[in-house]
Amino acid sequence: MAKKSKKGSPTDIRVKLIRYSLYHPKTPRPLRFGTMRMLRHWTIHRAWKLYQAAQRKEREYELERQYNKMRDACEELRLTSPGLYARAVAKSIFRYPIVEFRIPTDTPAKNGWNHEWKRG
Amino acid sequence: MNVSCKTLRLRGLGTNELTNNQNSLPVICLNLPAAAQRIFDAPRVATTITHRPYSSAGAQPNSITPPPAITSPAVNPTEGSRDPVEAQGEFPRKDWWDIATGVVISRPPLLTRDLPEFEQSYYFYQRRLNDRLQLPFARWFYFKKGTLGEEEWKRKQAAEERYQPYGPRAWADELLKGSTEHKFDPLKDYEHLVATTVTGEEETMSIMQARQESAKEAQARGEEMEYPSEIVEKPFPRTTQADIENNTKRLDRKLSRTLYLVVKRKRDKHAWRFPQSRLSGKWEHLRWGAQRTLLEAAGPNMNTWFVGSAPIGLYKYKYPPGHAQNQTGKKVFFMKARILAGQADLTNNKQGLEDFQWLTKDELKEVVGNKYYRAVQHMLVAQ
Repeated sequence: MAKKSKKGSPTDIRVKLIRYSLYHPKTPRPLRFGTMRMLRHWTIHRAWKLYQAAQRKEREYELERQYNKMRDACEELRLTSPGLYARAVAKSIFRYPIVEFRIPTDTPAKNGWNHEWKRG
Repeated sequence: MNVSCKTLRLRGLGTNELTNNQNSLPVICLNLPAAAQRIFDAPRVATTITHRPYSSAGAQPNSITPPPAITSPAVNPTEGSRDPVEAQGEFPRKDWWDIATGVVISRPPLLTRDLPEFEQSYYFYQRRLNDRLQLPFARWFYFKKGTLGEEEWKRKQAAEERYQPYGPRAWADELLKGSTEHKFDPLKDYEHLVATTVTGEEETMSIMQARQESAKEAQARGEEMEYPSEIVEKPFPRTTQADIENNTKRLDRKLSRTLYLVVKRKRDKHAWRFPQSRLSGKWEHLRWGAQRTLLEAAGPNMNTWFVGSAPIGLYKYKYPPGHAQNQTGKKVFFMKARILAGQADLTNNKQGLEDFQWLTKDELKEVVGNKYYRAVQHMLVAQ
């Protein structure tokens, strides 16, 4: 892709752009903050870290609660009925991804939710 | 179950010899697929009451604790315990419980979550820092010097009045108190993109002037001015009509949250519940029971997927004294399902249901009773 340029011919613009970003005299540009500005930055950083830690803990607790609920239910099922329990925990051979699952997007779909879906 | 297939089979054969009737244990070998398992399941002796022997269970009559004579006369006391461990009296139970399946059918969020204020302002702060730390935009790469495209770019950038990271006010990068600039991301915001994209439409000054004039006239009349050719379609707003009306029957309400189906039974108290029903038939296990429950309660016009066959939660309650049942109470095992398309339909429902709603977890708390909510809340997702 890189062509060796002969004397006198202009260099490829892509090469120029790469050189611009790599060898610019002001790269990298460390910012210079005054004391109060630095303190504000530090506060924001600390607050964000705290917030992220709290979010992560909350997510983990929710998962833990769900897991515990499931485990307790399965335990109760095991004590109540071994037959039902065995069929509940048996591994299924039918394991394919579901094509209709949608991942969250930023804005909704044009067609919205299909309330009129009919079986068959 | 930590018992191997071989030992189960042997045990099954062992207990069979003890019983008088030819009730053989279903040989459950966990390595076989579900279809093949059924081959090994032997049919049980039909009882006069149509409920399966193990539905009133744990209560399996064993040699130590014979069942009370009043209750369920149809179950043969000499049937023997299904699981020899229970026969040894490890879990002696004198209670008889109804087993029911409930369905927790959810519509997972269709949109990314709404950012709280703190996150919005933090991301704004990071955007500003990023602007300051990056090299300035290489306009000469995209627009050749002296072209009309370059002119349009310069004009549109100037009109925008953005923060200039390399200008004289580069130091003023923080958000001012009372400002709402942090509430939208300029790179995602449609209006901003339209305002700054160089499209080449405005090739002549006359067209541009005419458009400016018509825009002024439209503003004077109070109308919106739309750009004539939308190269990228405007995305739909995140709040829908259902949100504005707060119509709890619609599934396009609260698109960034998970919605759960609750149905109303014909009762005064404890009316709103997840759909549930007792297990019926001989071969029904929890997942089948749940599918049948949903079909009977909410109709067939829902494209659903049941996640696994294990229950996600349990609600156990005793019947009030004087209740005309043989059992002490009911155990409701909840199964998880997701809806992919369609809507619940309560016409012709076999459970006597009056109404349904699709609610988020916190809305559910108000509608469903306190005791039920406490039993059910940890299965559900808050977001």
